[in-house]
Parts: sequence; C-alpha cells; structure tokens
Amino acid sequence: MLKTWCIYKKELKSYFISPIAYVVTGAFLLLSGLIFNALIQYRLAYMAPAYGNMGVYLLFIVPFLTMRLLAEEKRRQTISLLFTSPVSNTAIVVGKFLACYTFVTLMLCITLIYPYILSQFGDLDMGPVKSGFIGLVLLAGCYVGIGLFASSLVADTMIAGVLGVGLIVMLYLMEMAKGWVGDKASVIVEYISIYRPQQDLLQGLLNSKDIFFYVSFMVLTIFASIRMLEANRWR
Amino acid sequence: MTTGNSVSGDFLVASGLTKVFDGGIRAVDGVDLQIRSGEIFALLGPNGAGKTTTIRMIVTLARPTSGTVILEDIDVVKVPDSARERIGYVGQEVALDRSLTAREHLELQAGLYHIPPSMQAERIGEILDLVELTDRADDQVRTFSGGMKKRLDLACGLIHRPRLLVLDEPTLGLDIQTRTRIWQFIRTLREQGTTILLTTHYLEEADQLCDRIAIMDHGKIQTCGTPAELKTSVGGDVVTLTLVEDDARPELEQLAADLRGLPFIRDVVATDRMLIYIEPGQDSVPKVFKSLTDRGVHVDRFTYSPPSLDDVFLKFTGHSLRD
Repeated sequence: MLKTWCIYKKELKSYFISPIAYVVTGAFLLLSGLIFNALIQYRLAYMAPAYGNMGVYLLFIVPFLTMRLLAEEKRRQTISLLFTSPVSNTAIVVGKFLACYTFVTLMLCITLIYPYILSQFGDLDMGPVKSGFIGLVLLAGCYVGIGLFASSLVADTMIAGVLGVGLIVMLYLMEMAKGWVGDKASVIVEYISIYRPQQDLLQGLLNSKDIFFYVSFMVLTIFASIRMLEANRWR
Repeated sequence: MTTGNSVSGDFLVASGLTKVFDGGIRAVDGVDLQIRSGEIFALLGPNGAGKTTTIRMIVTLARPTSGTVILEDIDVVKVPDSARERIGYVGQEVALDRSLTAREHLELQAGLYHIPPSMQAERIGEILDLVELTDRADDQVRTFSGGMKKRLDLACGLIHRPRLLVLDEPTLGLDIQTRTRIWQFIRTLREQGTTILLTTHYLEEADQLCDRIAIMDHGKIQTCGTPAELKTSVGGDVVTLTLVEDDARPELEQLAADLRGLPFIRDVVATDRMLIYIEPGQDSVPKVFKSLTDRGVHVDRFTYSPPSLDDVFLKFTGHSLRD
C-alpha cells in the first residue's frame, strides 16, 4: 500500500509539472466551455448535452494523459528502477492508474462551475446534473484504464496514445454499430458497452448496477495492464 | 525459499547461466561465476559479449533459460523479491525523471524499498553527501550535467544499502574527470562493505578498479582472475610489431608458426599486427629482431611492454578488445 502511495504521489506530481497535462486540460476546458456557451445561447437549463459532448472530448483527451504512464518508463528505461525494486506489478499499475484518474477527475471538477452558473439563471434540476457528472467521472475512469492498458503494450508514447484513442473509438463504434448487427450480437454489444449506462445517468437515473459495471470495467483494464507488465518484467 | 548455499563462502554464485532469446540467439552460454563478499568484480568484454544479459539475469530483469543464481542463501530465480531487497542496480542508461529533483528521486526509491519515513531524511542526506549532490538536492534533474545525473543514478541504487551493487557500464560516455570520480565512489562503497559487480569494456577501468575480472566473449567466460593473475597467465613480456609490407615477406600465420618453435618465444599471435610473448630477460628482444631479420622480415614499428589486459583478452579470445 505504501509503495502504491509512493508511485501515486510521484505520478500525480509529474502531471502538475508537465506542460502537456496543462495543454490537454486547457483544450478540454476550451471545448467544454464552447458547449456550455451554446447552452446559454439556446437558453437550455440542463447539462445533459454538455456532459454527452464532454464524454466524446475525453475520448481524445485522456489517452494524451495516459500514454506516458508505462510507455515512457519503458522508452527511457526508468522502468528498470521499478522492476529491480521489491515493488509488485499491482502497486505500479494501481499507483499510476489512481494518479491519472485523480488528475482527470480534478480536471472534470473544474466543469462543475457550469451547472453552478446555470443555476444562477433559472431552475436547474440537480438530479440529472449530479448523476450526469458521476457518469462522466466513471466513463473517464474507463478511458484511463484503456489508455493505461495501451501504454503497457508499447514502449513509444505516441503509439501508446494513438492505440489508446483507437481502442476507445473501437468501443464507441461498437456502440454505434449495434443497430446493424443481428439481435443476439446486439444484446452482447449492449451488455459490454461503456456508453449504454450513460443514457440513464444523463437522465438522472443513478443505480448501483451501472456503477458496478464501470468499476468492473476499470478493474478489468487494470488487471490486463498488470498482466502485460508481468510479461515484460521477468522474461 | 533458501538453498542453504554459501558453503563455499562465495557471496554470489551463478551456475550454468544461459539465456537464449527468441530466434535461438544464445546471448549467454553456460556462465559460471563466483563473486566473493566485499570485492569489486568486473565482467570485461566487447559489445555483444553477453555482459549486460548476464547481469540482467542476476538483477531479476531477465529470466534465465537455464542455470541458477544464488545470492548469499537466496535463489534469485525462485525468490526474486527477496533478492531485489539486497541488490542495487544502476543500468547503462541514466534512469531518471527529468522533471523530478534529486531529493524526490531518492524519496521515491526510499519508499519503494520501504525505508521508514522517520529514517528517510537521514539516509537521503547521507547518500547525497556521498555522491556530492547535497547542494543540488532540490534542483530538477533537467538542470544536471551528465556526470551529476550518473551520480544521482548511482545514489538511487544505493538508498536501501544493498549488499550487492550491480553497475552496467558505470562510466560509459563520461569524461575522464567524472570517470575518476565515479571510480572513487565505487572504491568508497567497497570500503563500506558493499560487494560490487560491474560490466565494462574499458580495459583501464577493469585494471585499476577491480579486484577480479572475468573476460567474456560470445556469451562465455573465457578466463577469470585478478588483473595480475590474468597478466601473468599471458606469460612473459610482449613485443608488438608492425611489419613492413613486402612481397618477399612470408605470410603472417606462417611466420608466427615458425617463430613459435624458438626457445625464447612463448607464444605468437598474428592479427594485423604481430604479438610475440617472450621470456622475460634482457636478451630476448634482440633475439626476436635477429630471428625476424634472418627470415627477411623488416619491422616498421614496435613496442615492448609487460602484458596488458588487452593482451590477456587477445590470448583468450583470439581478437583484441580494442578492435
């Protein structure tokens, strides 16, 4: 636990002194600000469209934050410091996952100012706002997990980034393609889709099943990353 | 899991260590090593000799295809985590995060080796002192010179006071001043009781720094001993000759075979130059020249010296490390 904490602290600090993290955060806030501006212009007093779009922006933003997590360590061979120390692969992966997830969550927390502003101009139903935001944070966790897994596969940060976007886009396209496949395949796609629970959450329906689904998805990606690291560590 | 080894008194024993990579490349081929406690031991060899792969297996970065590594009483292959507690590893490339400070690096390493927080500040202070980075402790690594980075890298490998410090080409690419400084740190660590295993392809480094040297080539240990023992094994002094190109001159191999039969010559190695190992004594050198002149061979340049590690390398591998 202490080792996970050490890695978590180091990674989180790296984000706060990394220019890329600030550029990525700036880009995300700019894009989400544009959407929020549109809500104001159309006098819409609900956040669902903004959260829906933010989910799409995160699709491209998060892999930029995850791409360096393991790939950069492998490229610069700093991974050998971790591999030759008595620290488990689980501690390495979990520490890095939590650090990136914390940074993304903090970035998303800045957007809480939007519903606050909306609430100043009229009656804002806070139920869908809260569940929509929770849904966004959970979706971001899945993206972080996928990006981390991509980073565990290669030793090049750019390839890790592109791979991360590719994997997430693939899941996104699977969601869109469910109408074109047969009924049985559609059920499977529906079942594993990370976007399906979003619809409920954006409408204010927060249930434990969806939360469990997202947490399970994150655990799965963390587990896959641990397995990849094991394959690299001692071969 | 322990093996109850250490009966021999050796600190680290590698037996039949072999690494075969995908595609059948045999990088390390049945290496046997015995390293004694408190010594500086070098693996000397050219690039591609298998030195790095050997130490990667010892520090648990690579799993041996076959063979064992016993560190004190621990089987490194079977119980890698216990071995990692006792080993400090400093790789060929500097493994530092440019955005972190020297102190932050050491704090991270201290945490990974579960040094209690109450002891960390004192330990970090000691290590920074040792590598002479105390006044730069809170500067980011991006502002460090190459030598400072290497020293910090070394400090990271030392934070948990390892029983065995493994250094892969510790002075590769460093200027002579920094190299001398690193050597001094290594000697200080040895005096403090740390056993040191390093790889190098610098003859001078192996000769001046190390207590014992294993010469490695094509994945195998060719010979092993103290620098003095290895040089003695060459036998006699060395006359190195560059011969005048001449149509009448016999072929080098033929000439070498011819000279080997003479009583004052112990051995002859012919490459682009000719190395003649002679009986020590004042009259051997004139006899060599007379023998050559008698065979119609003219000498362009020559050197006469006691044997060097390069001569040892040449004798045991058939080629020079400088090639």
